[in-house]
Amino acid sequence: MASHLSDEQLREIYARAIEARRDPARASCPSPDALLALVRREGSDESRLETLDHAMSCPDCRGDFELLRAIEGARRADADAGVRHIRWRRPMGVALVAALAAALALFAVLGPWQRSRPGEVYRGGPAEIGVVSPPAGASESAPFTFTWHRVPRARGYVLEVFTPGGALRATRETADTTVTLSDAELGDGDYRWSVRARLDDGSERHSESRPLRLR
Amino acid sequence: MVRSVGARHGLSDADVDDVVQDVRIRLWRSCTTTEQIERLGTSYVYRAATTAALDMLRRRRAHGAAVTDCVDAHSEQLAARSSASDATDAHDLERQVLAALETLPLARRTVVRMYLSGYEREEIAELLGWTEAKTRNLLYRGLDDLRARLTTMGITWPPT
Repeated sequence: MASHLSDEQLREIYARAIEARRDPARASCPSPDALLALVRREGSDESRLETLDHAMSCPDCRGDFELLRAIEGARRADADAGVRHIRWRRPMGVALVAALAAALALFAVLGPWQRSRPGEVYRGGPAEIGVVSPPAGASESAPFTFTWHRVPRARGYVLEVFTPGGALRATRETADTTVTLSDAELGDGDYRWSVRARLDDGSERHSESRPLRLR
Repeated sequence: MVRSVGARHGLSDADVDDVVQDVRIRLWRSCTTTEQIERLGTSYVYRAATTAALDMLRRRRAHGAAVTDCVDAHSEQLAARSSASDATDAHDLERQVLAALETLPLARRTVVRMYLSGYEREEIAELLGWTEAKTRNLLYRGLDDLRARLTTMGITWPPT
């Protein structure tokens, strides 16, 4: 008996279809500025939808879009961290807080680009662990990349992945704020993940525990 | 952050490296010491990163070199999956899926394209500034419309 194409089948067909339509001349592609307006949510809904519709049907524009989106996403995450920081430290004085927030953001941008230096400790960031990705309840496929914000005075971090029953399925220690686990380390199934930051005074900070589905 | 987000979405390392290198050059041209760089405002750094990215994209378009490594690898994987004897049928199916998509209203079509490109509902909602409920509604209606049009075109699974 015939039935509909599944979501997965549609995705495979769609990926092949748009790849076959790649246009080296890129005559009909929106400008980089239009893609930037899209990721910044500037302009009318109609124009943003049209730009996005094209970007999702053009492999080259999709790559451009993702590059700009990555930068904008980092800026927003950093701005959010700065806002939380200011709320907590207001009694210390606005000038000091503004300087700390600026330094925090600078390291947030430059830090990941300098990760080739082992053992480096990144300073700056709110006194909690804001987890970034995967988003809560995300359904991910291998490789699995976990990302979180830096914590001030953190000497290192421990990523922990638990089964729904609370058993530790995988753990990884790192001085970085991102860890990638392979399919071999995590099988398919439902999990919860969290991060602990170990500070230089021996204390720890904890992130929320996020649900995650691996497939 | 930029690198991890880029990796999650299959962005080429070369693209990110180009931008990173350009930002470093811009920062060192503006400031001669690490201390001066640390005193720069965050908005300056992000402006530099955005400008570097835009410049790189414009240069790449001007030189017509837009193909990224990750896309090439993906294409090879996809090509390897298809046998030569299936190629014609597969191309027909791809064309029909694209044709069916083109008949959807813009908002539904865009959401469905994003979903078929691997984005989660939450990401789509965040990017478009929509509620999760609105996004879910448009996505499900769009997928229903797409399947209905494919059925009308005689496309079912497995092929009959």
